[in-house]
Amino acid sequence: MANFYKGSFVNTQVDYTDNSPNEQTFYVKITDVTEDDGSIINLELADAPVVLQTVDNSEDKFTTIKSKSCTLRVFTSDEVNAMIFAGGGDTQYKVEIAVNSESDIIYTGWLSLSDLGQTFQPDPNVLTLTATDGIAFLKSVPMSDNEGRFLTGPHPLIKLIAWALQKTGLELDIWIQMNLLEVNSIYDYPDYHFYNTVFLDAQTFEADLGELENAYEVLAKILGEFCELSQQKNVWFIKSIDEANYAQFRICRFDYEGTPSDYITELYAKDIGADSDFYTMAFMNDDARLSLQRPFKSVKTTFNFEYPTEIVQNIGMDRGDVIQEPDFTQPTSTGLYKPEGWTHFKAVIDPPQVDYVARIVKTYNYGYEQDNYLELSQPSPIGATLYVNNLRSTPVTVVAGDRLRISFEARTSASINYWNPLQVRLVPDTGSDVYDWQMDNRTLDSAGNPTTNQWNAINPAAFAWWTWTVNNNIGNITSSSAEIDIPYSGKLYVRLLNANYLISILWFSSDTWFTDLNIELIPKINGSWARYTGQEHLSDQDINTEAERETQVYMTDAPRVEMKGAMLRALLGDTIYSGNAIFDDNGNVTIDGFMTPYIAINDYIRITNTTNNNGKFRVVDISYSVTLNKTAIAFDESTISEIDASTTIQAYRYELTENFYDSIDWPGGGAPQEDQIPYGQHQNQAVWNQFNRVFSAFEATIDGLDTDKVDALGLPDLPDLMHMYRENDVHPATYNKQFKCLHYEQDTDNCEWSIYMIEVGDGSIPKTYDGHTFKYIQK
Amino acid sequence: MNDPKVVRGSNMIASIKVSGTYYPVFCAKSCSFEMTNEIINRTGVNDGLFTKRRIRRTEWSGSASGVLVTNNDGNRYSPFYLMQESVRRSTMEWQFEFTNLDGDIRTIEGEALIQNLPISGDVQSFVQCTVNIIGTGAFTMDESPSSPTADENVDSDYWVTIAGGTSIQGLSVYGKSLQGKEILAIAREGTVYDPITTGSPSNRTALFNSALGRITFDSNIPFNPGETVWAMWKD
Repeated sequence: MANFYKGSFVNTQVDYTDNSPNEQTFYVKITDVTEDDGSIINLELADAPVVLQTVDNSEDKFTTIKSKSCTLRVFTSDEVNAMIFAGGGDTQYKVEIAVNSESDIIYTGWLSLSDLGQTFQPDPNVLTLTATDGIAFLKSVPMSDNEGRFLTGPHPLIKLIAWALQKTGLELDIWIQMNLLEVNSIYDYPDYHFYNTVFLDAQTFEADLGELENAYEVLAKILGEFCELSQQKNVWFIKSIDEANYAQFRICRFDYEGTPSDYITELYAKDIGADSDFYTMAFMNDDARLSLQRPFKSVKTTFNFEYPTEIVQNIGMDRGDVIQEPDFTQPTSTGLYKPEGWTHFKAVIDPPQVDYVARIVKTYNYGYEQDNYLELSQPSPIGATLYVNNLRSTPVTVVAGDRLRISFEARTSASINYWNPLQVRLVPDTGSDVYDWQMDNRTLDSAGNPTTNQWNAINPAAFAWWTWTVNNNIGNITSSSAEIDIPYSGKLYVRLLNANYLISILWFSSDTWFTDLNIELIPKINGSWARYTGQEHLSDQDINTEAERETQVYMTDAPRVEMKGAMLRALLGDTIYSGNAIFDDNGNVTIDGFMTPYIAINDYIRITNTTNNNGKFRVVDISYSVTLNKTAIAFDESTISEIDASTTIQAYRYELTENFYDSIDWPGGGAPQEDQIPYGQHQNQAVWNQFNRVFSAFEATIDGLDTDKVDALGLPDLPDLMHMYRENDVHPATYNKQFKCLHYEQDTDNCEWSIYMIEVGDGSIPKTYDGHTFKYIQK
Repeated sequence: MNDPKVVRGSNMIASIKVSGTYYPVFCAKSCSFEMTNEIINRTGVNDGLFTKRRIRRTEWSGSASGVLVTNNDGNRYSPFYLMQESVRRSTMEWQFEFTNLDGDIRTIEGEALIQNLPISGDVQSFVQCTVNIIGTGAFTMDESPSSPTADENVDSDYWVTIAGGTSIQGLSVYGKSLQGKEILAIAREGTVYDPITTGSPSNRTALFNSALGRITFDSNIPFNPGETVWAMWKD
């Protein structure tokens, strides 16, 4: 076993000429990342030693994710054979392919154990190794951040993309050739790139309660029907198909963590032609085949209105830090957990006392979960003054006219008349008033059970939470549901309350349990509730064809912030803290007071007025110390040790994005109103312009691989998926046309490769934006 | 055939390199060398009715056949030595030497592997052996050709002189120049002069200056009116 396995070879016939002088050295390096002793074993490479290929050979221009692999062929010896790699996990053996010099890497991947093989004969055999770029791994990895933390709330698209791509095990920069800009963005500033300014709520990717879809699905949903993702030039390259006909690329570069770096403009065009005086690549083998893509009658992109099951975080009360581990070896055991996403209070806004309990209880039978509920309890009697032990949810963004349905089951330890187990507070976007609803269960049916559904709006008042009343002896189980008409747009919070009752002048509490909490938001869209199930963008034409394309998209300009896939923009909100802050060098800060009601895990906050720690930070952990009366916050970003007495912290609020314009057509802004259109329309028309007429396609073998060429950045510039291609053999199928490669297989040794490329533009046929319509989809 | 540049079969020798010296392989009676180009099509859409092609890769191979000998000496190496090297999977440096009737030598050299080595014995004859080799990597041909290969481009023309002068220079009647040429012959009105390139011309000698493209005659024999000077030269 060694740390590195290295080999190299010199290729031939790099260019389409009979006697190419441009042979290049290719370097193969396999690194065992579990070793660090620097030991090297040399690889003797066999014929066709490095073949690069696309894994997905789909011939749909809008195939979102294009995984690539690399097949290596090496001779076996005592030191190199299949068993050398037998201990390999998915990300143990990193493969790097470089050309010209060892540092000019053109491909990075991981050795795939299942694709490894050799003849079982005496050495030397040819050992075939396959390296993949790791994108396939993403299908089995649930989405989370780079540290595996569960995601909630809105995040910039680039962060979601970067976290997903880091699950390949590769830390490659991200280049994006996609130049839509929101009308509020500033041109040419990387911070204002589309993928850095548009946010999506992580619940867009909700698979189940407390569970997100796999990272592959996340990428597919973000990029679907607009962009293509692949590994190019040893970076992750995201390319707008609408820009595939451009020779000059305008690229925004991000590091592997999704931090914007800069814009670059580079020429990435490849010319194919039989005249070797002009072109270094040409069709060979006389096997080039021309085919046509028929024109489509219509292109429809639909977006379904769906809300997350978790309209508030952890609504199922099944996630949280462990307080007490269950013992799965016992016939019965209990696990106790601190409810994730819920804020624990004493009364309205005070921190809870240490003996106030708010915890998730899970009971098990030999490890099989039997029951799951939330438990609230506090010492009884409480005293002459009522302090209610309670939990508050994360906010729900609502719009005036929406309806909210809430249902749950609760029970108390004491037989009390009634109590208010749940309250709802609306904080409007404008004005300082708040609106509260509380449930009153005093109406009983003939069996003596509460009929519920009586939600009484009370007058806006400070400390409205204090208005609860308690009567004795109504039984110990309550099942309730209710519907609220939302009078104002704003944020809505739900509180779950510890039951309590008054005897004489003393308040007593009863242990309270909640389960099966369900919150449903019914938006009022186009004047109606629950009438529309989605929206669609349609482009069509009246031609003699029945071909139609209808696809579902998962990210668009949705009508409600809370909808899955609603594109959001972040606006700087209220100042939530001003005062002393103690930063360390490890991404942590400690501030004064009980701040957990205002700051939650996964929130982005802005810090100003410090010397070294101003900027935007993402909260990954927060805790409050009752003893110290301080709140400790951990960030995803790094901090610098500092004590600052005037630190200001501001929160962000999120709104639906506004319109977008094409900054290639309108560099610097200034797009006329008709070119400022919703993302969904851009998306639909981008697809439409790839299907609305006849397009040429070629499947061919190409001689010449440009392994001697470098781009303006000095990087190897082998033809790949990112490039724009021109076929220069004069013919009606090629004249004035630009092509995009959809799949290929490249032999880097003899520089021959197969390609399938399809027309994506024609200099004499402008794109058309006619025939577009938008409508809501009715049930 | 009277062409002295031809090579007889007996003058093609296959040798292997051992310790820096090439030795013929056993008592070979015949040998062969073969180069093969792999041809691929490259016809473009506008190439008309004729197929265009190009060469992908080149292979070469060779063989030698002869009578089996059992020992190695200063003149030959036995097939058993080749067999031993073959078993060791060794590549060997092979040379094919071609000597024409003039004694000029061309060689082809390269590394090769032994593909097979059949040995057959007939009771009526000597034991026969053949070694078939296949090249690994490129072969090289010697870089010092044994006879001129460049076109000498011999040419001639005449110049009109000026009466009383003793030299000609510049372009000939048909616009040719002597500059940079090698002079072969000079004549004045049919009288041949011996060309010299140094010293002073006298009597039947003429001084040729290649750098200036000038022919100078004895100053005591000036040109007569209408006299012409003819010269023959090569590049």
